[in-house]
Amino acid sequence: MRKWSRLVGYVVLIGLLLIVPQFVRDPRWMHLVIMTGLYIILAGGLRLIMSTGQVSFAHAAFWGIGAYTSTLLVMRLGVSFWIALPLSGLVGAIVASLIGYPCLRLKGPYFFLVTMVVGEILRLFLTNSVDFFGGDAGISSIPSPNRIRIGNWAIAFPYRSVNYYYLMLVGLFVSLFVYYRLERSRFGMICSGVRADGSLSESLGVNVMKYKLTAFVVGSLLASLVGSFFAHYTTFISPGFFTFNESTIMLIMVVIGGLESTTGAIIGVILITVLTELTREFSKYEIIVYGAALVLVFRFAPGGIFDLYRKFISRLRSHRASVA
Amino acid sequence: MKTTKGFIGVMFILALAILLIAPSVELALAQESQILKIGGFNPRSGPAASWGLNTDRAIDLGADEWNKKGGVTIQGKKYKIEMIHEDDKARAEEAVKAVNKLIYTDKVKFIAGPMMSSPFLASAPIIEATKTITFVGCMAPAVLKDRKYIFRITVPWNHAAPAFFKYVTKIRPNLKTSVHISSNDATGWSSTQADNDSCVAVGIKVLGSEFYDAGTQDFTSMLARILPLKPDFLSFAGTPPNITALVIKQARELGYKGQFIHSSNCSPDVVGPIAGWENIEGMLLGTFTINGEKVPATVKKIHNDWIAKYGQENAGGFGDGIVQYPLIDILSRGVEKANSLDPDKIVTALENLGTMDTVFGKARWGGMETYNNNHQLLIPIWVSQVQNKKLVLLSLEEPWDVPPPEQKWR
Amino acid sequence: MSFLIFSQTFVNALLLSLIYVLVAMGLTLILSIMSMINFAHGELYMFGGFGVYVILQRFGYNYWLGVLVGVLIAVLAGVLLERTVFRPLRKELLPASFAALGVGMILQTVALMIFGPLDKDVPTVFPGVINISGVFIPMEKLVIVLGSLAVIGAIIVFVNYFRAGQALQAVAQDSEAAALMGININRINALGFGIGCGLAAVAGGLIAPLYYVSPYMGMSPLLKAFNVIIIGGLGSIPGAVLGSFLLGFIDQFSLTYLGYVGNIVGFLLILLFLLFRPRGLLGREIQMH
Repeated sequence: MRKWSRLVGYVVLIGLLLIVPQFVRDPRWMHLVIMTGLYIILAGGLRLIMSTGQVSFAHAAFWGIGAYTSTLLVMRLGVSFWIALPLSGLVGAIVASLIGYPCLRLKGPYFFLVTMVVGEILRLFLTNSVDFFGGDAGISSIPSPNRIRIGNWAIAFPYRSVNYYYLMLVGLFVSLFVYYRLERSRFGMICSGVRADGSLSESLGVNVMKYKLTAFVVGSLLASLVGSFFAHYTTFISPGFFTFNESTIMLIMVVIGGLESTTGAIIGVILITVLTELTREFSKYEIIVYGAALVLVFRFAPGGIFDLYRKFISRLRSHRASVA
Repeated sequence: MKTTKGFIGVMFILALAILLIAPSVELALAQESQILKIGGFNPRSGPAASWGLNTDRAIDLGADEWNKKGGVTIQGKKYKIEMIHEDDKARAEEAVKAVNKLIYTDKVKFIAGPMMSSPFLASAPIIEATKTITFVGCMAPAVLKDRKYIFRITVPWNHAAPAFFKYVTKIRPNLKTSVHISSNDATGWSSTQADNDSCVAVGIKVLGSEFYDAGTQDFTSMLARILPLKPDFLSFAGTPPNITALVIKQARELGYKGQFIHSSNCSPDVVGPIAGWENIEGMLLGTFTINGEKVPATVKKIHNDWIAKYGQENAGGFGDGIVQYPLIDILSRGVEKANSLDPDKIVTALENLGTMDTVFGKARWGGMETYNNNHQLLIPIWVSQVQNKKLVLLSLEEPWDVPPPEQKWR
Repeated sequence: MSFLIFSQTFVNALLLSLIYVLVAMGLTLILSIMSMINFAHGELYMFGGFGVYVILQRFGYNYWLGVLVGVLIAVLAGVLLERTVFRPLRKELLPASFAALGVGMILQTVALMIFGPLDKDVPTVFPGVINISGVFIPMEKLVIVLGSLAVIGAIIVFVNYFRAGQALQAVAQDSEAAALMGININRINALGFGIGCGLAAVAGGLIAPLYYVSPYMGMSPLLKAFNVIIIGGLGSIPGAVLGSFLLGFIDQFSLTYLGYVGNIVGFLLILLFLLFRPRGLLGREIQMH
């Protein structure tokens, strides 16, 4: 009975997501929806990395690496977007491995500091190479993905077309599938163990490095894929999109939502996005809202909002059980 | 007890109903009268906020002027101008969201004033795709190049600096060598390019260019490199007043006796206290001021309007914002000349406005050689000097239509 | 290059290093005692700056009174924050550091609301420049050097010769053992955090007349302090001093002789340390759960 209702639930959810464009006609809201979807993929990846106990301040940098790689492949080498996309992911994965291998050994705050430095290096590099990477002013007029031909039909991607939404949706489904599978499998369990006490896990025979590296590479790879999509969707990228600031916002989204599950990341993204839109009028003080959210969450609900929700549900259940 | 509760309940429901219905009534009413909606996006929060807010204030003042006359006349009907300002927080992603809101939700016909290049460039595709005529203040060349619907009403450094330095050589022929200081980013590089090319074009020898990274407050190392070269003056452009002040203060502390020149907007009211007024006496700046006999009466009038509308506490922002004041004026003239809201017709009308009488003097469109269109406003630039803790206007100079040739400075 | 440039650069480096020490000491102290990265450190630095601004610039009273006011407010705020926000998060690096980030954001916005975003100048309290055969030393910076040395001296004396200071050291080394010895961890934490915040405010107050005051003034000093403690060693006060001098001299000399490219040198140094000696020169392992 349980499995049935679960399945029906998923089908309904997917169905709803598919017909969203029917209700969201205003390009303004559609853009927000697409960006939210992208942020969910990004935040989910960051959560994956953090599930092994490593905080990465360079997540936005990988987003940037994917964006710039894809842009240069398409604009300088004439490669098709559909090939540039996976290649960007590959580049992100390679960079993540190169950084991860020496740095994930570091405990506690050290890895986090390294990622801060890495992010800065990337930003400086991009800003200072004007000829190749467009420097501070960025690269504009990035071409949109080429048409896909299936038999007699063609799917095109004119500027801000609704097809971007569907492409994003595909990416979202794939990413969420990866995140939830990893989370609910033995892999996820071991990651939690590593996060709780790395040395204990190691003494129990766990190859801690393998798990940390896998999480880091997978998370960064997906971030790079998002970057590639992002570049060809917005047609303009600059180092300003991928700074320290952006990484901080993504971290806030993940920790407010909760580290225990990818659902936490989803909640965090939606909450922050909604808060940003609501405080648009008083944007001067938007930072105080984030600050307050951070303090409140960590002081009273260090597991994040999702954790709070789960505790609430289980308390309800046990209350019911004791009453019955 | 029960009746009170009931009464409160009814009042509550009534209030709720009013709150829900009122906006839609307002909306209906609004659609009755003729309104011309113009949008704008600038940093209205964060470190660049005061700059953005002051720019928006100047544009609003310009809109007020036209609304006093009843608005813009199109085909016999009068349209009042309504400005909608959005905050882009100086971030490209936020600018895109702001522009989306303005164009699709608020349905603005025009956009006025964005000053930061990166946020603007991110939004440019939407703007051109929807044919929303935009008057910008941002300085990067890419902003204007090959565009159809975008016009720039501020004079960027590559057009202003040559005129500025030509005047400098006239009044101070003893200033023969310079070192340029700017930030190590796109703004800094383009200002270095413009200032140095201009100096070379008018016969000043550029001894070197120095760059500092954002966040630097200690310039002693940079000055240790510069001062032994013994330049006649240190030149700044685009550097914010607080940074300029720190460099000046530290230069004087290290024994520098030369001049300082800032060829773009920089308020001495910020520089003076931080650097010390005695250290900037005689400094030349390409900045607006209301002091001096050469200041046009029109500018003084706008200054009074500014204080009347925004209060004495915001008087200091006048210099920052005023550069965008002519925006609404020129846009409205173009719309009236086209006598239509059709973007293509308005673009043609604007391009054919010829020489315009503006608050700063005679202005016209130029820039064809650099941007493949004549969408760059050429309006007199200011050369002022700090005299006895006051900024005094020395002269209004004509910017160059064709910038000086570019050399390599990095 | 000439000897004059070298000596000027040397003097500049010395002055710069002592400024770095002031900012880094508080950060490393808090890290050693409470195992958290105080992301609000920049805002507490700002307290010192605004203390001076309000007392000196707005009311015209004595400069040192301004510094004192800034420090007192910072210490009080520190003790209050420790009690309400950080006590339950003891030894949990991630939650405590993020909570500190949130606190910093709130403090910055409050300053923004009260004072506005514009930079405020603080008049030069000690004008004049000393000229020693072509090498210039501004009086202001000399005062900062003396102030900095006084503070370092005070901290060293406190930590080594006073009961409370020795207790701080004990907690920093091994808090469980210290508790077993009868040290009141709560009190020591409050003391440590308060002193750390006070140090940040002293730095802000001393440096305020040198540059200017704004709600954002704490951001670059925080970054610099980070760099210093990475090199000097997380959690070590002597490390903070050593790291400040090393970084101060490397920064100053590479910027003077290489121009803006010199920024890379400092960076590379930090990266090298993180990769090959994450403990820093004199650091110790951060105690965690």
